[in-house]
Amino acid sequence: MVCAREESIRSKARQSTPSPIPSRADILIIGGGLAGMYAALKAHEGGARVVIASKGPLGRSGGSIFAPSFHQALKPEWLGHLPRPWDASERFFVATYQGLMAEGPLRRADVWTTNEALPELERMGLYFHRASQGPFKGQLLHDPAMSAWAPKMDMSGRTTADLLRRKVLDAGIEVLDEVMATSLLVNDGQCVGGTFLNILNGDFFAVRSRATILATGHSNYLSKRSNGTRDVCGDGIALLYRAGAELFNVEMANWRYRFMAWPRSWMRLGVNGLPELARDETGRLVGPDRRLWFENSLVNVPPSDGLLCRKLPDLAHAAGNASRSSVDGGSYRDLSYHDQFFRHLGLDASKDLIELAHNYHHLHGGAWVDPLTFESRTLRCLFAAGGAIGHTGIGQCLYDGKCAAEIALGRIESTAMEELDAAAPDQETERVVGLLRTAGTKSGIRPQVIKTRIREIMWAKMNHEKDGATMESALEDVLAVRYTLAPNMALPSATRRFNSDWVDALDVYNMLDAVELEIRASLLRQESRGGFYRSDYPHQDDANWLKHIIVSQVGGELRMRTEGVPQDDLGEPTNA
Amino acid sequence: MHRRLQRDRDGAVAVSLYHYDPSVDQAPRFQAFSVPMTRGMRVLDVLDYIYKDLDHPFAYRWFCGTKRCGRCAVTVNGKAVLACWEPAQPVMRIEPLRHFPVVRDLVVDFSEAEKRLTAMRPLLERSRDYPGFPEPITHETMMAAFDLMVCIDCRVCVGACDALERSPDSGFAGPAAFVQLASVVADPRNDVDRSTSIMKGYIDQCHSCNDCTHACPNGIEVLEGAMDLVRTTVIDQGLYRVPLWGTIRKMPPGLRALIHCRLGLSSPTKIVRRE
Repeated sequence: MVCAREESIRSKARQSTPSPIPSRADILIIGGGLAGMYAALKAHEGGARVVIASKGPLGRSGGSIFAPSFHQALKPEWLGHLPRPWDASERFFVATYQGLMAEGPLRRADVWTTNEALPELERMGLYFHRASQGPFKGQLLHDPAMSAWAPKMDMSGRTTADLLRRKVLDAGIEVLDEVMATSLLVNDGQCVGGTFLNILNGDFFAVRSRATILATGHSNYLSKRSNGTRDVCGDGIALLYRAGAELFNVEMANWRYRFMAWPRSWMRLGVNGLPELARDETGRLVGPDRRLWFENSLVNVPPSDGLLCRKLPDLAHAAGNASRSSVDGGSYRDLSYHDQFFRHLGLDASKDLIELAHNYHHLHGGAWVDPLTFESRTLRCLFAAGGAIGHTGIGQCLYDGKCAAEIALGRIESTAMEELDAAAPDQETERVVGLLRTAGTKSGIRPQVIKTRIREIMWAKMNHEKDGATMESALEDVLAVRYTLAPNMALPSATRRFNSDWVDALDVYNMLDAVELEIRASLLRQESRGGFYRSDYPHQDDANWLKHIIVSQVGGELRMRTEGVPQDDLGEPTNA
Repeated sequence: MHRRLQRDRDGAVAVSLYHYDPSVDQAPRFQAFSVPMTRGMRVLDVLDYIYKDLDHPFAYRWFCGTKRCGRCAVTVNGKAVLACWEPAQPVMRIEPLRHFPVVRDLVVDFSEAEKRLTAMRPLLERSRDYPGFPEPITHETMMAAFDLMVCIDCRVCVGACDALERSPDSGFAGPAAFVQLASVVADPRNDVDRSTSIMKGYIDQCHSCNDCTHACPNGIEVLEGAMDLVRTTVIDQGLYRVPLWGTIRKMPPGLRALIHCRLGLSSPTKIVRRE
């Protein structure tokens, strides 16, 4: 039965608006989260022609939308009481990064956030939540960690991203929405742009640029339970690796403990109330018999989630609890203040237990950049922003974006546009568009099957608890996927319109690069540090391992080396 | 045309899923699937199961699964919903969100709506200087704006909009755009008039059916909190007249919907000036 409405739908679908394809930019930004969008605004204000490409919708996906607050950004005089110990944020970050980050860059980001970012964002219209008693909501009265909150759905990142998205669009900056970067273009040691696939209509094209800022984020959906959104599959890591750029600390993956065990689609829903900085509410964990085994006012709470993740199972075992808590679940929540999500499941949080599980959260490594300029130490005119020197948080991401944009603006003055063919290189075109020729291959493996397999390997063998044996086994499994499964991928259809299988196939190769590097670097680091934990080397070993692990591809081969951690603010490396 | 499916008595979900690729298909078609019901199952879990476990390729959008990205809106059994929020039902016909062009299957094209929203400038505009951080505002004065700021721009309300259903080519911007604009209008820090944007969004097309409010997954009072707020602004500016507006606005939304939409007793309105 054809009705008028169906015919209207069909005729509207046929009138697709052609999207003009940019081929040139002064500054190309890859990644549409907080860092990328802020960099775009600053670069645009600086007079550059900016193109920003986002694999998911701009400002609507990635780790940015899950960022809870502006960590420790409030000054004591704004709160009317409590001395402001700058060392509170340092305690937090030092504990999390355990010596791998120079204090100088972290402190600069924090100071800038407090003094520059908060006023600028408020002026733009961001609403920092005021309390009915006292000036700001969200301050923790008994811990000197004072975060600023501008929440929507409990996440300040989402509101900030919303504002920046509107600002970017309002400024008329060229936005490539739902467009996936497939490669970085390199000429003679310099990054000269990128190639892109438009997910909505299947256009494949190149954008040449004088400078490129990589802001793809560090919360990747690489393990079965992850906080990375659907789109973030280690793309940035793979782009860098394939371009020959160096990466650092890709083994420093952090885990978080407090996410919904079911339903599966709510995997990324964090349940607050565990000991968290800047939260008044406390949390308690019980076994299924309701016997209390953890309550944060009763224990000495470690100041970082990474350490907490390690400590909770120990506490559970020490309490002799019957929870059989594991990474897949088995720990239960006793809450009386959380509401809407639980009621929507038909749960009454004042009576029912809320089951939680553990997620692969984010990476503290990434592009190996100069911490002052955020420029790649390997490829000229390539910058990284968004946790680029290991730190995280809304303010820190914005700071990265600002710095990268400022330095890039300076660089482009002396950088000519590479006068190369505007079309994408043949090899990359074949790699990407050639996948469409696999359509309809009998006995081909659908790419999503392989993505699932990779995530299962990571979950089973590269979880928060792991050792050399499980890691070696994970590596074997990953190599088997790369050499026996991936070559047999076939797309079900060659359609150009929102062909998710095509994107999945590209994701497979990005994920294989990202996880292989993570496993190999993890094997190399024979210690545990911050969020990185291996049970065969459970302790921190500063004597041997106060080092960064640097990986890259040289002549098609993986090269791994170490470099000593800078001991001064200028970020000069010491001898390893 | 789709077949009505039997409910599986073992607790499975019977799904009739819309497929349409305008580049190759003559017409939309539906395909049937049976998905085992799991605890707390959302519509998104059902779609994921079909894509992954049943290994069936089709196009659908989601990013976060937790009502933050606002990009998984679909139509289930004729109702506009957010797939990650809506519970799965034993029998479901799943189609794309209404009132947007279809890209493929459940994926719709928001680009024109985005351009329109950008043109309305849903951004704070201050005529006075910013006083510095922290500016002297209170939560009480920000409450109306704050309640609207929870909008994640998912456009479920647009899919549910009865005005667009009756007159798809009226030029009405739809409720979501007005929620975004209203969060600025309600912001005490905003002191630049937005009447032109409101009239260009064809606010007069809203006939108070209140379906948008019922559909909103975030519980926003779309009609009273947003549509009426911006409507009052332009009525006060004399750009638009609604007889007995003061009385009408005080009526409970259900009664207004009955009078204006269901019984068709709309009072005559008059556009004084749109630009």
